[in-house]
Amino acid sequence: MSAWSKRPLVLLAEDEPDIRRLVATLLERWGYEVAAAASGDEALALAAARPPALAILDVSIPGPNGIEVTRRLRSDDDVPVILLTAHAGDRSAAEAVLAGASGLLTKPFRAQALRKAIWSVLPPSPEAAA
Amino acid sequence: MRLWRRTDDEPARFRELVEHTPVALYVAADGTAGGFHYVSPALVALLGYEAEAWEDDPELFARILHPEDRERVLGQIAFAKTNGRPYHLEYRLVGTRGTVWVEDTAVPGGDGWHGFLVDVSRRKTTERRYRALVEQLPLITYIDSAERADGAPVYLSPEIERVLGYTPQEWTSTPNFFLDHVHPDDREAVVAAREEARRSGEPLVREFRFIAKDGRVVWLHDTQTVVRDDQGRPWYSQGFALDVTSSKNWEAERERLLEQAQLQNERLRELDEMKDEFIALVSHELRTPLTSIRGYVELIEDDPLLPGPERRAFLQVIDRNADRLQRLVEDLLLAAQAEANSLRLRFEELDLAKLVVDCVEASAPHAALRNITVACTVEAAPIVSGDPGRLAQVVDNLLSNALKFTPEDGGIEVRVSQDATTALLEVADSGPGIPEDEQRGLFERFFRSERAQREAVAGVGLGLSIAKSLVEAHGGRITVQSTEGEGTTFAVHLPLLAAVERLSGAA
Repeated sequence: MSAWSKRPLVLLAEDEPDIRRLVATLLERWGYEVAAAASGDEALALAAARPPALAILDVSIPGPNGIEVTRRLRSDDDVPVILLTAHAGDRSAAEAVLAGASGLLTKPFRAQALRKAIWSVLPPSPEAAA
Repeated sequence: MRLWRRTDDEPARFRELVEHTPVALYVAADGTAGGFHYVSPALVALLGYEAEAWEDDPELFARILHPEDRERVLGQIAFAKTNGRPYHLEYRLVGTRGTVWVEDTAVPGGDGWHGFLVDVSRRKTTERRYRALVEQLPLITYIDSAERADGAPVYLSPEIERVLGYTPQEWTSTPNFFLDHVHPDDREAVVAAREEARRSGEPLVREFRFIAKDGRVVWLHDTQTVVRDDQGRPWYSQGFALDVTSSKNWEAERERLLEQAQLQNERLRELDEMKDEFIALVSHELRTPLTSIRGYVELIEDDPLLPGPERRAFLQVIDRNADRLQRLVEDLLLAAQAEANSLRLRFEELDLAKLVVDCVEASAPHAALRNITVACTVEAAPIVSGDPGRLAQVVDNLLSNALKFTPEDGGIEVRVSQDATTALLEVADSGPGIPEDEQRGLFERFFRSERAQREAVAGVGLGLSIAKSLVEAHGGRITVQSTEGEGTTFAVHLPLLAAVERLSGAA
């Protein structure tokens, strides 16, 4: 096994192409491997094919939404989840907590904020920090 | 025990009895002319006229009858005498010491009419006082007697005329007057209430509408109680009615206002909900491009060694999202202007085909992103009068919708044509189509289709409402035709400049 394959896999689900590409770029820069999806169905299929170390999901993706996907990931494989939302408000936070998410970031967010949220559930490994 | 025996001096003893009894007795002549055979000393004392005056002057009685009673009393006596029936009357006689109210009771006898007068002046004075009191009240007071088969009241205060316009006489002389003038809608309830009161013996309190003489509808508040005799049997009923029309009308007005206020509240609540929903949507739609702008700026800033092509691509993303923000802000502004009817348009002569082709070209990058082909067919070059910026916005909105709902690798067809009077622009997508029940609400502000909500399609529901407002501000109209599973075609009809000029030239 090479060091390459040890990069933690992050499942990313985001229907806005620009934001999907933004988050994927950040994750790759930070040393993660990214599996990107544009819908809930796609995300669940990717997670089933290869269980990720972490999932970053937008709340309002089509198909089963981010909250629903979180619920399933948490119950099936205990995958930690960070949710992204453009809906500011207490309701989304409450829903995120109930679904079992570890973090919720409101758009727009700083890259550093996303990084901190990831580190809080997936402490940096030597490989990732490199 | 017998105090009286038949004796020889019987007539004398009767004479003495009659003369000494303090009752005004008389024997009146038969026939209607009047005249008295005999009046007792008590009668002489009552009125001050000597017995001779009564016996000699057949006109005395008629003369001293109170003028207001004369006609009635003479008529009633004549009637009784003609028919040989007893009578019982009340009237006034003007004696030498003043007017006296008498109760006159007589029966036909062998030698004329035997009767007596009772001085009821004191009772009459009391009665008059109470009557004056009752008739001064701003109430319709009445007395109903069960003895009257026609149900007409035996007494009605004059207030009835002031309130309803009918005189007490009209009322009492017409059978069924009361029920016939109750408002038809209340008649059944009035009868039912009366039956119920009769059965229960409880006082009757009711409100109903009555038709006044001049046709007005008057609300009456009526309270009726049954007066019983010594044996507890119903004797007669008395009551009073009050005109409550103004308070009833006020009640109705209050109810109307209340209902109106509730409707308004409901409407405000709906608007409030719409506003909240709208703010949430707008916030979402603002945050999404902002996220890209800030994110890609950071991507560029954090990597000074970013290769040129990648840097250019990131800058394009920033530019595209800034565009998206700008469009949203403009849409909001336009929607507000359209709502306030203050759309400001700068009209000029323009070629619709050229404008449409420009818009299609501008949308090419968007279409390419999702591998959608946009075919543009120009069959004519219609000249219309319009604001180029605003018409371009209409076309952009239709194209952006078509792009949103057309699946990847799908196609969009744009066609420009014209007939004798109208320019026609059609934008047909190959999307999922719009269910019929949603087609009506499509052009309303903030309308979002089920599908758009379910699939989280970007947008706040302003594009089509703005397009409609703008097209209509150009004197045109916008229509939609859609089949589920096949696609949707929006058509914009605009009047040709030449047609408008022909029309205004002809006018």
